[in-house]
Amino acid sequence: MSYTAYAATMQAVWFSHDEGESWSRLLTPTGGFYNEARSWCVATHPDRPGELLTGTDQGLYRYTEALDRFDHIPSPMDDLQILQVAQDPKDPNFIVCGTRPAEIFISEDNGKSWTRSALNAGTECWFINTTRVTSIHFDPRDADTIWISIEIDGVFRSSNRGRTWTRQVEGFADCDTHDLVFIDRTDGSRTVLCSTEAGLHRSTDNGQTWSVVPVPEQIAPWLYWRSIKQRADRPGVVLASVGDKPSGQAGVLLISHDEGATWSQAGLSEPVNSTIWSIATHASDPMLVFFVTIFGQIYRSRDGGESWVKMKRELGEIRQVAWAPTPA
Amino acid sequence: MTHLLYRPHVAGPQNDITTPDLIIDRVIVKLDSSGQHFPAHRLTVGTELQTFGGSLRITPCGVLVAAGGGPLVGAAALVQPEGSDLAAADLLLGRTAWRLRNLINHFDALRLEIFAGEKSATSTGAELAGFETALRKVDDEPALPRGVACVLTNSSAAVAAAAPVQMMLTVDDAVLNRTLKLGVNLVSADAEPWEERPLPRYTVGPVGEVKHYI
Repeated sequence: MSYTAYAATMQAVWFSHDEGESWSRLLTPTGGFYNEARSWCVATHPDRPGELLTGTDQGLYRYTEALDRFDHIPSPMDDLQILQVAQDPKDPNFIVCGTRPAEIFISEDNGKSWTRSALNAGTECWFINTTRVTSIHFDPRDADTIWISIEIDGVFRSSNRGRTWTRQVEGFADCDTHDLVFIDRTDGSRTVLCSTEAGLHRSTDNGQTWSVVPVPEQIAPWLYWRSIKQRADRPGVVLASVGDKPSGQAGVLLISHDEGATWSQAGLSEPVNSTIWSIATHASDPMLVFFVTIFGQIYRSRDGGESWVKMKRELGEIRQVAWAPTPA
Repeated sequence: MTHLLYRPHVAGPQNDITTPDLIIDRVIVKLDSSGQHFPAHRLTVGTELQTFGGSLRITPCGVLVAAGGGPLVGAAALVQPEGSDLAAADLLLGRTAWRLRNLINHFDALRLEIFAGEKSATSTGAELAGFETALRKVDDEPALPRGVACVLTNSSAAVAAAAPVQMMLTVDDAVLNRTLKLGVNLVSADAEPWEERPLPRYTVGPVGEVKHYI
C-alpha cells in the first residue's frame, strides 16, 4: 500500500509520498493559498480517497489529488482561524469545523452552505483571551452524537448532530481540554478519555462526570496531556502525548495496553524538542503511526506506536498530521 | 449569515489589556428607548470610511458588547447622509474598550465629545438613548446575549460635516482618569488619493525551474 502523509503547518500544508522521509508543498499557482499561510488542521475521509480538507487563517480548503490542487470552500469562517475539521464517518458531505473564537460551523452539503451551531462556549478566557476548539469527534457508537473539546471551556456533547450542545465538565481538574478517545466494549460499556492541561481524565458514564487518571511521575513527568489516539485494531491500545508545557521544550509519547489504566513511555530514537502536538493513525494500517511536535519534528512508528524513528526533515511549526492511502 | 469579528483591546482599570476575539452577529441601535436591528455587516472597525459625499450626520454612540468576562463598553459613531434614516448609516466601532463593571456606577457621568472639522458637541453617558434600560439589563450580565452589540445613540449631540473630514470621538472617564478614542477619516468615495493612478502591473516571476522553492 502506498500512502500520503499530510502536515498542517504555519507554512501551508506539506505532503510526503515516501513514508515521511521527504516533504514538499504545492507550487503557489496551484496552491489556492500562499505557501506561508497558516494551516491548522488536516482531515481525510475513507470514502473520499485523494481528498483532503484543511482549515487555515483564510478559510477552508479542499485538496484534490487527481487535480493536484487546493480549492477554496467559501464559508462564514474566512476571517476566523479554522482549527479543527472533521467529516461524518458515514457521510463525508457532513462537515464540522471548529474555530477560534470557539464556534462550530456545520455543512450538510459538502461545504456548499454553512450554519453556525448554537454552541454556548465561553467567549473569553483570562489566560488565552479567546477560547478555541481543540478537537471534534463523531461518536463511534451513536451516529447523531458529536463531541468537541474546547480550550479553555471543557467538553461539549451534541446528541442531535450539532443543533444543540451540552457542556459536560463535572469533575475536571481544569477545563483546558485537548482531545478525546472513546473505548467501547462489546458489553455496551464505555470509557471516555480526555487529555487536559491538568492530566488525563476518564469518564465511565459517557462524559457526565470525569476523574483524573493517576499516572506515576516517572512515566508522565508533566501534567500537560495533549494528543490522544486509539489504535484502530485494538481498542484497548491508546497513545498519548505529554509535554512540559505549550509549546514546551520536552515531551514523551505514552502508550497504554489496558484502555488507559496504566501507561509506559514509548521508545523514541531521540528526544523531542517540544510538546507532541498531534498523533495520526489510520484504520488501513494500524501499525503505521505518525506524530509531530509543535516545533516541527516528525516521528514514524511501524509497530503500532511501541517504537519511533525521527524523520530527518523538520517543518518549522506543525499543528496537525494525518495520513491516508494514496489512490491507485 | 453575517458577522463582524470584533477584536477589541479591552483596557482594565490598571490599563491591563485583554484581547478576546468576539463574533458580533446581532446589532441593536437605540435611537430612543426602543431599539432597531441593524445589519452586522454595516459595522466597521476601519480607520477610514468612504462615503457618498455631501453633508454627513455623525452621531456619537456608546456601544455595549456581550463578552464572557463581562459586557464591554466601546466608542462608536453612526455616519449617515444628512436627512437619511438608519438604513443608510454605517456604524463605526472603536477597537479599544472598557468593561462595563468598572463603569456601572458612573456610566452616566462619562463625557463624550465628538469633533468633525470645525464642529464639535459634548454630551454625557446619561444622555445616551436608553442607557438606563440597557444598563439595568446588562447589570445582570447574561441579559446581554452572546454575539449582541447594543448601540446607544445621542442624536441631539450629532454634528454635521462633509467629507473629507477627520472625525474623532473621545469618551472621558473622569473617575478612572482615562479616555477612549475613536478616530476615523471620512472620505468621499470618488476622491482620488493619488495624483495618477497607474494600471496594475503583472510580474512574471522566475522564468526557470522553480522546484527549489517548495
